[in-house]
Amino acid sequence: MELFRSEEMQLMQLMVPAESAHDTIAALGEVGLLQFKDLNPDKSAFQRPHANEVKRCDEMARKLRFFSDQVEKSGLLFGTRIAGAQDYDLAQLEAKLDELERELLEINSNSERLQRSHSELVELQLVLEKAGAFFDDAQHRASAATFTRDAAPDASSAIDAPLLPGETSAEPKSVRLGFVAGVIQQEKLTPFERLLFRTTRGNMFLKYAPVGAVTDPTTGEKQEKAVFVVFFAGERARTKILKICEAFGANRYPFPEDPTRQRQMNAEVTARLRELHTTIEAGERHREGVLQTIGLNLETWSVLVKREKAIYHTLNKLSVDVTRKVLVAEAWCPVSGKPRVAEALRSAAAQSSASVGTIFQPLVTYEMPPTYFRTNKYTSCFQEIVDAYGIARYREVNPAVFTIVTFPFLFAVMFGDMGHGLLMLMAALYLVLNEKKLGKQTLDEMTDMAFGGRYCILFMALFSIYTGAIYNEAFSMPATIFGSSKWGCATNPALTDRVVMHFNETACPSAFNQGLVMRGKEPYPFGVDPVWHSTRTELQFLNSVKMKASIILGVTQMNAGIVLSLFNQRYFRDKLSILCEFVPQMIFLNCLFGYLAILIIAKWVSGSVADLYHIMIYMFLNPGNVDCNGTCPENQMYPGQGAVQVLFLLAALIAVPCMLLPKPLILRKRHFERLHEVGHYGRVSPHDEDEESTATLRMAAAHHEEEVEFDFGEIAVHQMIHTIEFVLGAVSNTASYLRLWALSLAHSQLSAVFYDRILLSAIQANSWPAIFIGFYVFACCTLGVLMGMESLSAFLHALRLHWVEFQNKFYHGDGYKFAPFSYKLIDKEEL
Amino acid sequence: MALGLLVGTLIFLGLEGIVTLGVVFTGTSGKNALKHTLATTTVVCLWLIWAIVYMAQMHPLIRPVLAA
Repeated sequence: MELFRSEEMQLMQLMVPAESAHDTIAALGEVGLLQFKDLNPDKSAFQRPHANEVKRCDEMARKLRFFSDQVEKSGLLFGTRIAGAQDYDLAQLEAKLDELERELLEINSNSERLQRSHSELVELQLVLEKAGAFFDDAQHRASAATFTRDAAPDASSAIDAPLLPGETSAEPKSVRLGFVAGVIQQEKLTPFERLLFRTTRGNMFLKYAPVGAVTDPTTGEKQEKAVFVVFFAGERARTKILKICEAFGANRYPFPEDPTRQRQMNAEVTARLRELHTTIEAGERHREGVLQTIGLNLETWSVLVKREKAIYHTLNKLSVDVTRKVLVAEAWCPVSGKPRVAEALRSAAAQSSASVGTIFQPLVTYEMPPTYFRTNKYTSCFQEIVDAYGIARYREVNPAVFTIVTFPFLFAVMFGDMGHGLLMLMAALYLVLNEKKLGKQTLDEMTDMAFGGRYCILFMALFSIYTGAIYNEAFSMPATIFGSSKWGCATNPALTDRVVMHFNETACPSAFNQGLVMRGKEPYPFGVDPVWHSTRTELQFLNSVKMKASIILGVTQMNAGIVLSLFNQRYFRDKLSILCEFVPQMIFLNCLFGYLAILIIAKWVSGSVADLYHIMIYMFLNPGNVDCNGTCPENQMYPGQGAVQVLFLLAALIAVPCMLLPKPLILRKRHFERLHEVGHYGRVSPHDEDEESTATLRMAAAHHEEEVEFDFGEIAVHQMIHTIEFVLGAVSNTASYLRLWALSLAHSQLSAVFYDRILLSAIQANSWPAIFIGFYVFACCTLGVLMGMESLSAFLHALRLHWVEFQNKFYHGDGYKFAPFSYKLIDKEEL
Repeated sequence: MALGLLVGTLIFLGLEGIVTLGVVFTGTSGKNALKHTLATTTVVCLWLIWAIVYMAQMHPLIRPVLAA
């Protein structure tokens, strides 16, 4: 059966002619069925023959990353390869990438320079406009002042009016006013002004006007800026102000005093700006064109580089023959894939027109082969659940086969609710039906995880709906899909309607104290009787059922685990372990907990009132005395129970030393026998007819023997640990399955609380807003707490039950995963 | 004595038969071992939980008492 055991693997030796090595390895990457062994493990990465090529590939990968960055920033789309595009080999691609990178860098620096001068010019233009406006304003006001003064010569109301008429008409010639114009960030303006004021002791005048967001020439970012003009007197003030401007990062611009010069300059700036604009646009178009070609080819190029790098990595693993004509490779190959590999090698040899083909032959090895499972999209997520615990040992039974069903099932035992299962089913169906579309997108981490496990979620949802029907709960409400309740009023068996009994208390008074009675012999045909919902005894009943169900399910699954260990032992021809592990383990588990499960079922089916706790406890404390010397006759469930229980107890007790002692002792005896045999035949062997082959075989065997040195102490300790683990585990694992009960209880109680306390009380309030809010809160609680947290916790507990309670019965999980050299995997990697 | 349990179990056996036929007709012969294993395990799980809940209600020791 596929997936039940990992693929059979074989260590193959390849002798590749040096001249066609690269092409051969490339062809093998296409097939993707070989895992190459590193034959130069003692060489560091730099000493290897193709270290240089790997370095070149790294360099090219860096360039490609730079390109993809640039393409992404410019908002262009990564195109797929257009038909007829040029094919490159590595050297050509390297040259091409080199050229493109140089070109792109040059374009970038050019456009940066242009951008800077562009934004400088923009600022200059702003300064010219704004500062010009200041000067014009001042002139207007000055002339207006002269005009008013002329019109009203004795207007003394103006405080700032000059005392002496005619004083303003002539500029004071002794002090020449200087000024500095520039652009500064808006937020720095106030401290700038304050500092200017302090350093010049108030002998300055700052005029400014905000100009909004402007690109800063140095950083290239948009900033809120203002144009300023500082007027001052004296040369020393000028140097100070210039320093302050520098400190505040204010850009100064030349500003001619003469209005005609100003206009001329403005015109010049405008012309240059227009010119620059066209230049920048042309540059931008050029850059876009370059990026477009890069973007179209980027995918192809990065695939090529990734593959080339992987090929050289693989070539580095091969050992070079002394003659340097042949490369020797050793690789693991699935036996079923050998014909395909051989075919690929043949065609590669034909294409490369090498004089000799590649030799492909099996090697004898005692090394543990890698584990390889062929999974498909349905089974891969379950295989991952198992692999997360440990990769299966080569050819051992794969628990994933059973996990595919039992994992969703145990999840559903904890998460059983038709309503919640339906919600989960909708989510899973969304993921499954859109898998083609979603598979192509890059999803965020959470969605990606859900998408990867979509089939697991689908199965979990389906099983949840089923167990929900068994528990008879849909959002905690019972349904009567399978007929009305089998319980009726004690005094009036025809009366089964709970609503009538509730609202008409005279109809059936006994229902409130003694309780209802079963109407017929047969119980509710499918699942829990709807009558139990919100009765006083509901929890008592459900706890009893679910707790016992957990134990039965647990014992069943643990037995299945031990039977799987039998499959392993039979496959590996380990008769000793069958006798000394499988048989006593089965006896031990089933004499104690298997017996308990059978008692539970017997009690249910027969209607006995025996106390099972009491029976189990006194089976140990007081063996053979079932009915407490006559004080508890109900515990006697069948004749001869005392004797049977004593027998079971003895069998379980004897099973423990059977697990512990015989196996290490027998192994020791076998070891000594083998040593003796080897010594015996050693003297005879020279007279064998086929000397050489026996000698090599013996050497191989001796080599093998050396590796697996027999150490009795270690084996005995290992066996002891194994035994103790099993015996204690039988108790603790059975108890551990009670989490099924606990989680299921928590789930149904939580959903009942949300339904009763939030939704129902909102509906009882009988006003639309209250119902609306109540429903909203109920929906949030259901989605967040139950569908989110509860499902996660049920998932984790199901995971634990599989990893620990189920797998520790048979699963070694100490293998290593088959990691083939395959283009399919390499193409998915990040560059 | 437990007619319902027997009938139910027979129904699940019938389900197993249907599922087996379904696998045989949809799959390729000789490569259905995994599908058969999965189908059988599923039916066994479904039957087990049904049977447990059914049996637990056959001779109930606790009676439903309505809350006033």
